[in-house]
Amino acid sequence: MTQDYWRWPESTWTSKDIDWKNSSTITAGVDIGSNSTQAVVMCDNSLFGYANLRTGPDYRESAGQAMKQALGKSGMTIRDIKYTVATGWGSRNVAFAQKIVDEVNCHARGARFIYGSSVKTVVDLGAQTCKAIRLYDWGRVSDFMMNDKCATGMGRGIEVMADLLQVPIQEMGERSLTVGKDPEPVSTTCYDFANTEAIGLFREGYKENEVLAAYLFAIAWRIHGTVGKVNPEKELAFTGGLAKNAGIVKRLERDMKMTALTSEYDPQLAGAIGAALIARDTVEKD
Amino acid sequence: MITAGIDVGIENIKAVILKDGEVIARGTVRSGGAKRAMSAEKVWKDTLAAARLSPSDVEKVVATGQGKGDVSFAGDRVVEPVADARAARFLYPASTSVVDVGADQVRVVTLGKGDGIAEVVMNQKCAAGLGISLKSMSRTLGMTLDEMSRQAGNSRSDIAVNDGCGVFAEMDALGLLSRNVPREEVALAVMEAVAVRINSILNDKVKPAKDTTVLVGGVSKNKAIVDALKRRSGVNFIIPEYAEYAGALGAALMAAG
Amino acid sequence: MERFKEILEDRHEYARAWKKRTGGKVLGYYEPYMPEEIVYAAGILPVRLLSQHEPDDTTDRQMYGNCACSRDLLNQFIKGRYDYVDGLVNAEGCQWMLNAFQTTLNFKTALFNHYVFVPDYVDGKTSKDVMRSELEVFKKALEKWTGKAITGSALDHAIEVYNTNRRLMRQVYELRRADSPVVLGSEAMEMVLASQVMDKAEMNDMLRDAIAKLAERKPRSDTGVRLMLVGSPTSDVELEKLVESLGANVVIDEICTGSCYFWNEVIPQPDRLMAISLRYLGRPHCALKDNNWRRRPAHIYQLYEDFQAHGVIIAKQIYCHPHGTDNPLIWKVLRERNIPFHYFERDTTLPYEETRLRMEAFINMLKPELVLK
Repeated sequence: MTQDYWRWPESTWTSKDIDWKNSSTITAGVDIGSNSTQAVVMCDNSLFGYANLRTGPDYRESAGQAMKQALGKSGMTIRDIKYTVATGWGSRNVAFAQKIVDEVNCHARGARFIYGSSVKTVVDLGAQTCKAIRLYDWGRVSDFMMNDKCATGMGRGIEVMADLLQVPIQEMGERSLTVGKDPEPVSTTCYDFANTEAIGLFREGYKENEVLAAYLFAIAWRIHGTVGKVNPEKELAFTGGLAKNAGIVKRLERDMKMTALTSEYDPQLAGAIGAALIARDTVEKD
Repeated sequence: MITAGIDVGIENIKAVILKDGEVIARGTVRSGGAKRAMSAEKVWKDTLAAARLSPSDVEKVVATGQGKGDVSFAGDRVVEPVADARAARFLYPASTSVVDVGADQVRVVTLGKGDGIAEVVMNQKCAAGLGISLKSMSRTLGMTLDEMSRQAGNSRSDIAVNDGCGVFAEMDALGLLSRNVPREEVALAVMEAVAVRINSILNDKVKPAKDTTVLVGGVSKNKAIVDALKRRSGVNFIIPEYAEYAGALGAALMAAG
Repeated sequence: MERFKEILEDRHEYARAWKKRTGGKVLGYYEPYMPEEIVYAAGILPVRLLSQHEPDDTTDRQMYGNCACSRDLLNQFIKGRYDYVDGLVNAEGCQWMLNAFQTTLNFKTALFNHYVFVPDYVDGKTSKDVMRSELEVFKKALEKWTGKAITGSALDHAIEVYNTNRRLMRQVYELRRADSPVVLGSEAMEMVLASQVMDKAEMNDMLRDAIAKLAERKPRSDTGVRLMLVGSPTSDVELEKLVESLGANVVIDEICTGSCYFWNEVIPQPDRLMAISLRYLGRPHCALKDNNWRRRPAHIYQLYEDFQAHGVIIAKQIYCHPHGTDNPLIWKVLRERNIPFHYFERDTTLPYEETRLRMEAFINMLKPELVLK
């Protein structure tokens, strides 16, 4: 009975309403992160299908798998897609992509699609890196900052923590918020220090949820440090896997004294959606 | 006389039951953070059952490890280096030092005269969590720890990861994967870096003796790391069969007096 | 051009060969404030100690928490890579290099060693006199070591050789200013780095030759986005090569091992030691010495304008304390002037994927054609 507490749920979806054969431009975006891979197919300006999977050790295979699942049983094949843009950590490994665009621009573009064009600050909370992106009113990136070296891998650290505490990863955030008043945060230097220090709190009589609170507070604090460097302005949007962790998002909002926009889209898809939209721009320009 | 030792680590809890100088049962379970006290009870019950004993048959229980305070049924507690030293002396009376590489810490214990300890050197903060980061790597590589440990051969010098910090090493390893370096080679590079970090602690003060140094702890079961470490340090480590139970064994021996 | 790269990569071999050929002594030094002219005038080869990446399992106890560059220097000494070095000099700079200097001497006790005090307030009223008297002491120490007096004409010759080198390097850098430059950022950086481990007279001949060859090169049309590099000292050109692979080019740098190394000359005057003092105190400020009389922001801005860069990369070595404290002020100035920049931390190894991601995004941000709706 070994449960993989660190494993987050993968997801796929393909639209049943859109008749892709009648759409004029079909484009795709693939975002291969260090930890998760997303493929998105867009028909004109609507989301047609997506897949959000864990990245395997073979990036090429992960990309193919995600694309296959995003197409689902729709009957569409890769040949029906006019243009594909790849982005992310492993963007060099998408054999069927025509172009590679960096993740900062893809996340910025995707965030504006998901949350609307009022977005001025995008914070991408990925497994390996955290990026704070500032946008001009017209959507171009004006400035961005990424985490300091020692703050690398916060998302991976949370997986490690879920495994150590044996708490399902998707419950960590909510559980940490049940604590009335946040305890002092643990070490904000690196995830490894934070993890061991958090485990050490049990010796001081902390309850599980209090440990989670002290831990996620530290992670949020570290991210806040990166975000602060770009002078964030309203409206604020979070993207990436950790944007689904309420324990981080709520604490970040509290520390930044700002409320982030919400949307029914999965924030982890932002990069791939942005890539698919940039693919569309490219097609239209030609 | 029957005694027992419980070693509560950050990752696993190990229990050993000792009868007149012979180990009669061993048990291990995941620590599980807040569930640690319960996990300790569980492994204690399971190990007793394996030895067909009831708690009252055991004269004394001694706890060690980072979470030794959580063991409510322990009669006494002992710090980790002392347990390591005791186990090493019991297993190999001629040993002069013991190196314990666990999930979180690396300890080098130099044995002194009699029962004493001459010196203890522990990892610097940035080299913490060696075992933990290996496990995280194994998930990324889609290999079990066992599969990683069976990788043979030297790592290629042009495929290397950061050797100062486990988190940076992960980042470098992910970079290698994205450049289509086969995961077996990435695994070798990761384990080589772990060996460099352990060797750096060995170089810290007193270099352990070539033929009388005992290596224990979970990471000692990783053959690839041990090979790399032997090559780098020139020390022919003695590795006991149940190396990960050394702390618990030491505690059980302390309980026996 | 290839020769510079070879010498940089095989710098230990170069120095060993030089020693064999000339029978002279080699002096390793840590900091850019080391008055090389005096050393050169004494017939000694000054070699800047540059880090390289080699697994470091030796420096944990002594230098934990120091930057990887300084730790690596100790590591290299312990592993015998610098066994040809006869002496060590540290001209007061950062604390980490001082640690490397002192810890190395702890076990290499036979080495000649000297510590040159350099005032932190380099523009202070008494600084030039303090520096001059330090140079006097240093000169005497060298004379005692070699058993030979350093003559005025030897100093004049050294000054001339060094000034020539600086002028030639400036010429190479001037070529980078063109819209379609003939020399890439990585190539120019390899030249500067090589010059710091070479005999300058030999370097000057090679440079003259290289400049003549560069004049015949066709201007490159593929260098794209123009970047300026600011930050901690480096000893390789990985970053320059990376941005070149992404359609950009480093056209100018403001780093200790780059342009700052040769930017200003010794202005001759009868008091030769004073002339040398003024040259070193007047060099582009290192981040550590940029106190009270701040010159770095203006210098960076001027280079940025002169070389028509589109954006600035600030690459800080992780745990580098001078740049760690100075960087926020540099950001502030760049923001005030609307200069786009990207700041990141590097280690001895450059995590390729992560850095690529940063550079790609930054370059795209500066590329006007990537219009997002």
